[in-house]
Amino acid sequence: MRALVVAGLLSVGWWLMWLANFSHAGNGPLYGLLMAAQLFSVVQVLGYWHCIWHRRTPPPRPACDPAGWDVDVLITTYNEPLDMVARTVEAAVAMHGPHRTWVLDDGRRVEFADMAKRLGAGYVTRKSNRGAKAGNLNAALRRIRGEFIAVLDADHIPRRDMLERLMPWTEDPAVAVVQAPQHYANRRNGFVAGGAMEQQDIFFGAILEGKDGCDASFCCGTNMVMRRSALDQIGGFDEDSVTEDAATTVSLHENGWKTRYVNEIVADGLAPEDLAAYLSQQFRWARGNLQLLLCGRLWRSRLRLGQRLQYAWSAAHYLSSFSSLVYLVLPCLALAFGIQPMGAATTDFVSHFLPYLAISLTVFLHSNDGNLRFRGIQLSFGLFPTYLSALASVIAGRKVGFVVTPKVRQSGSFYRLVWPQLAVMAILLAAMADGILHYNGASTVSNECWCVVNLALLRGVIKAAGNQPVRRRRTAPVPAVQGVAA
Amino acid sequence: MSIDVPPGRDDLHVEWLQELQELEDFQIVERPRPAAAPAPGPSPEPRPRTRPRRQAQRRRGTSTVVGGRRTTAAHPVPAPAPAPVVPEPPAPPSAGEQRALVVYRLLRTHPLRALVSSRPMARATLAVLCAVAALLRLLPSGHDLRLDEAQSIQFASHPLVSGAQPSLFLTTAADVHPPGYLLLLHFWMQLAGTDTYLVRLPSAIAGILCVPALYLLGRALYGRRVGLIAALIGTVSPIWIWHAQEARMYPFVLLFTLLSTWLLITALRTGERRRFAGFAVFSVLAVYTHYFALLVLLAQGIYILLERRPETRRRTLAGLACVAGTLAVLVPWGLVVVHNYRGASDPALGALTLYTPLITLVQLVAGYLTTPLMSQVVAAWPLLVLVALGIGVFGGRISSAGRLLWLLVLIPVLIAVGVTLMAKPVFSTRYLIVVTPALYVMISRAMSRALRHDVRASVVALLTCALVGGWMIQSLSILNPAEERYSTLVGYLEDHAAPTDAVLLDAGFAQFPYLYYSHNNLPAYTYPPPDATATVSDAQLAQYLTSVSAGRQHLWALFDLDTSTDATQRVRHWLDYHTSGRTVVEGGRYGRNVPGDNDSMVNVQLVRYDVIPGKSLAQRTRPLTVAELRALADLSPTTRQPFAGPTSRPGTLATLLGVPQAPAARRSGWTMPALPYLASSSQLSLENANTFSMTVTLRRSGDRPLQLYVPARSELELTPAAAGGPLTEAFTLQGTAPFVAARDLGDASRSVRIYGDA
Repeated sequence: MRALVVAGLLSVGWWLMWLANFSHAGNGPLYGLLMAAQLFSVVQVLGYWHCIWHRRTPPPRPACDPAGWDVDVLITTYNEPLDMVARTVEAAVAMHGPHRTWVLDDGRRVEFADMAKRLGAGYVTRKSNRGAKAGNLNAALRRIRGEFIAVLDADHIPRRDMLERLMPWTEDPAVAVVQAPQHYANRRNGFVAGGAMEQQDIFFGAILEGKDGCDASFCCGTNMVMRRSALDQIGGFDEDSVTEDAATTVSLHENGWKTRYVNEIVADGLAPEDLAAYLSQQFRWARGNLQLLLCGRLWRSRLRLGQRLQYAWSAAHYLSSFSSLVYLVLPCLALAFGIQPMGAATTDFVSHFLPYLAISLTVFLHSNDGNLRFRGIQLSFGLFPTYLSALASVIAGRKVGFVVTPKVRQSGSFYRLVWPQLAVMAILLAAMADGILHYNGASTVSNECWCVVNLALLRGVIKAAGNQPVRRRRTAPVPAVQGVAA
Repeated sequence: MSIDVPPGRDDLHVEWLQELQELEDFQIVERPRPAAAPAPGPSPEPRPRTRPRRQAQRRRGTSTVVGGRRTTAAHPVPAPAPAPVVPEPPAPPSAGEQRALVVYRLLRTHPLRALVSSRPMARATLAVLCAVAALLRLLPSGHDLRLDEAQSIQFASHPLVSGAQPSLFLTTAADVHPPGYLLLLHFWMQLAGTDTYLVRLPSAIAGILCVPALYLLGRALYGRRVGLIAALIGTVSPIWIWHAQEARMYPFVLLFTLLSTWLLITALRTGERRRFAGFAVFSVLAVYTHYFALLVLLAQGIYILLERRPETRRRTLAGLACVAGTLAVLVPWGLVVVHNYRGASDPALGALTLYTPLITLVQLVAGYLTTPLMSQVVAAWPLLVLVALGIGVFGGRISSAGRLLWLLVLIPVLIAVGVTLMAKPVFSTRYLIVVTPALYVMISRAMSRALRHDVRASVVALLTCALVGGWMIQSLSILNPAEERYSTLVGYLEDHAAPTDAVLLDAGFAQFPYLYYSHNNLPAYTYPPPDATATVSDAQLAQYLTSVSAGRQHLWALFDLDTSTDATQRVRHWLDYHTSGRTVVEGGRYGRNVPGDNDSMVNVQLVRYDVIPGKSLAQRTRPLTVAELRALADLSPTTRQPFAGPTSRPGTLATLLGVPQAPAARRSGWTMPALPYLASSSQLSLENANTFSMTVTLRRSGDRPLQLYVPARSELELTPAAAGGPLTEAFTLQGTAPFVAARDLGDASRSVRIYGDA
């Protein structure tokens, strides 16, 4: 893998050297745009390579005696349905190892108190909802005294061995957070949930493992164990950010605490199943990360360089809407108006660009064990309007409340949510038609193909908006199978 | 295997039949209804495993879907009647009837899927594909014999044992390919002659056989559906059709590597000894047909190593032993090559740019498209990004079959790239044809796997149309980069050339197609000069071209643009400056592959130069023509410098073919009798076919001896004036080496020639 990355660095140099030569420019401003977009993409790719460069095979789990654990399991809820939370609480209570389970209900619902009591868990609520999830956790922290807390979202049903898998890592007194991946049990339930899970696969696979190697893995809100004393030192969870988890981890890292990422499934959660929920979740993540990046929090911090780079790189992912937009616009301009960023005589573009593209794709595929699914990429690419609006809201400084991601499919059509994508697709199609009418040889073919690639990538979001019924799983008819077996 | 269908569940959906269709052989057996519902739980014994590939299909879970269209019952089953009197059950239909019913129902609902539904149907489909393949390959292609084909014919016409001519083996060893195909062609030509269509017939037959062989490979790896899609691609693959209509070894190396790969897979699965033997035999045939089969063998060897398991150790060892045995069988030939290879005869393959692999990929799938079209097809490279992003469809773990295919594609390509970058150019589409079987199976598998069944048929049809389109462009366009129109151009030349003209072939091996098609006695010369060893200096070039063109009216230059030995175009420049006019009969005027100038995209260019008349010289040397050299020199021509090399023994002259030669005549000097009837202007010419220059002494009674200097590979023309008087009296000639003396008998068509030894 590292050899591939080294080859990749060479190919990046080969490509940037070509790109930096302005004699290749056709239309100056467009070339500048392309260059900026490419530079951004290259930085993203380099960040990813930095990440996987530090990926390591996890050390063996330290030995640990469960008898000494002092753990409070906190399940946060606001408006989730009772039966969903009840399942989580039931599973949390049944986890192996000594622990106390608490339901932190910001919805102040009596039936939840009854449910908690019935299932053998504690019930904590408060008068206001200040600080949203972070405030809820902070309020609970003031009422409980355990040495460690384990945090679960209401829809994440823990497996019985969750504590056995995570707690041993806290034997190192410097470790403040042990994070496990989010795993969506409903990944087969529709396009959005599947795509969301595929995105998570990449993040909770290569990326967090690499960040762990840089001591920069951050906590992700659920499926984690935290050290109480560390939280006390930084004054609890950060209530100012909509992504309290990342902001809190920055504070922990600043204070010299370590974080650990353990890539083992410890809980089965629910992914957003419809586009509205997914978009609101992505908007929240984008806004929180951009806040971290743009409002100076990250730059003022006292992090190590590697950690800071990793934070900046993760947050900058949400700026990729710019480069997506450039890649969408350039072929359209070329087809409709014949304005090309590159001059006509630049035939060696492909030979400089393709090696970089091929190696970065290979590294990406290889680092994800070949599990690169098209849906996840489609969704990432199609989210550029969401990321742009998150950016706008950060720049405008507008306060946005914490919106709990709905876990249950909402009804209705979501096409109105994706009007920007639909508009862009219409423009792409129009540009393609125009390009065919004014056919101009190889350059038209290339631009048409880029349009096709863009359309194929944008189609994912549109498909997600279609709110198609849950696909029935293909199962063998029971008698036939029995017949064969007998 | 048999599948029991319980009564009452006979309204199976066609999707379930999809599961059945993959089975080699199935029969539906009526099973008596059980008294009670079977108890849930694990089945008492696992489903019998038919063959390894079934496992992958089961994992995929393409089993039944309930719902959707339902077909009617295969035969009505009486409803479970509580009545104690059971009517006599109808006689159950035979397995054959059942199968026919299944196929009939499939044909009604999913006609395309029915094609792969059972073994007989698949066989029938394959037979149709083979018939189409035969039609496409046996129809006369109408293409002229390419340079390489003419070379095949020339080499194959050599005897098997060295005599007056070097043997086929020595000739081949000096060239770039192993002798297997030429040996076959040698015997075939003894049977069928050298007619263009007949010479190409063995290739066509091998090309047809490649289609079922590809089916076998695809079926062994991924089942019948993939096998049939791959066979379909192979049937209409333009590059396969092109090479099946060529007198070259490519369809044979394809056939042999296909069969060896298929036998290897099945041998590793079954451990059968005869399959291992078959693998070894076809591997030997393949490596004796084309050296790139060695790369396939390497990929197969790596695959055997990767597939090793403790429990199949014997099979791994057997496979490796076959690979080692193949290499051992190649050793004798390797020794022959080491002693005879000249290196100077390699085809001039183009330099490798990053576009080359893209172009090669397109050519391997869509055929030899025209150069302008190719640039537009290659411009569609952004679609590769989509393909790359879609690779994830196949999941994280690569299967054994996938590993084999990737090895078979990547190893030849990467090694060809490496050798090209580090040693010498070997990256050529036709050499890399050995990766096409794996490539086609991969494409078939990708379509079978990634596309839903309702889209798949359309995409397969679309691809087939695209390939047929590629084939038509390749067949009909003379701008096809593999097309060489020697017949047309030589025909034109013969129609328009005067007896006083000469022909210049700008690559030594262009003489093969020229001689195949030419029927006149125009003196033809090759560039570089026949006595050239390494580089030709400007002075040598000027001297050569001056002597070739002196006294001629026109010089017809036949430039093979793909393989020209005049990379810096010095010959053209010299001719442009030293002739009085130039007429381009075919080919572009300026440069090659100029966008917009279709004339510039041909591979063979014919140009007529008008020679400036010079004053007649008394004594003149000129190089020996191609025909003279072939007649005189005991040489095995190779491609680049046909008359240079170690097999020519200095001081030896061969007889002209067909002219009996008395041993007494073999001496170093001759006495020419007095020939008083000769015209006083009759010339004497002395031909030196040696690779070194020599001196001939001419003695006449009463005169001082005349020392005549004859350069290597040249002919000295001596007018009576230069000889000191008319040569009608008797005289003797004494040479320092063997030479040929010839006297013209007053007209151009008759002459006296004397051959001899030193």
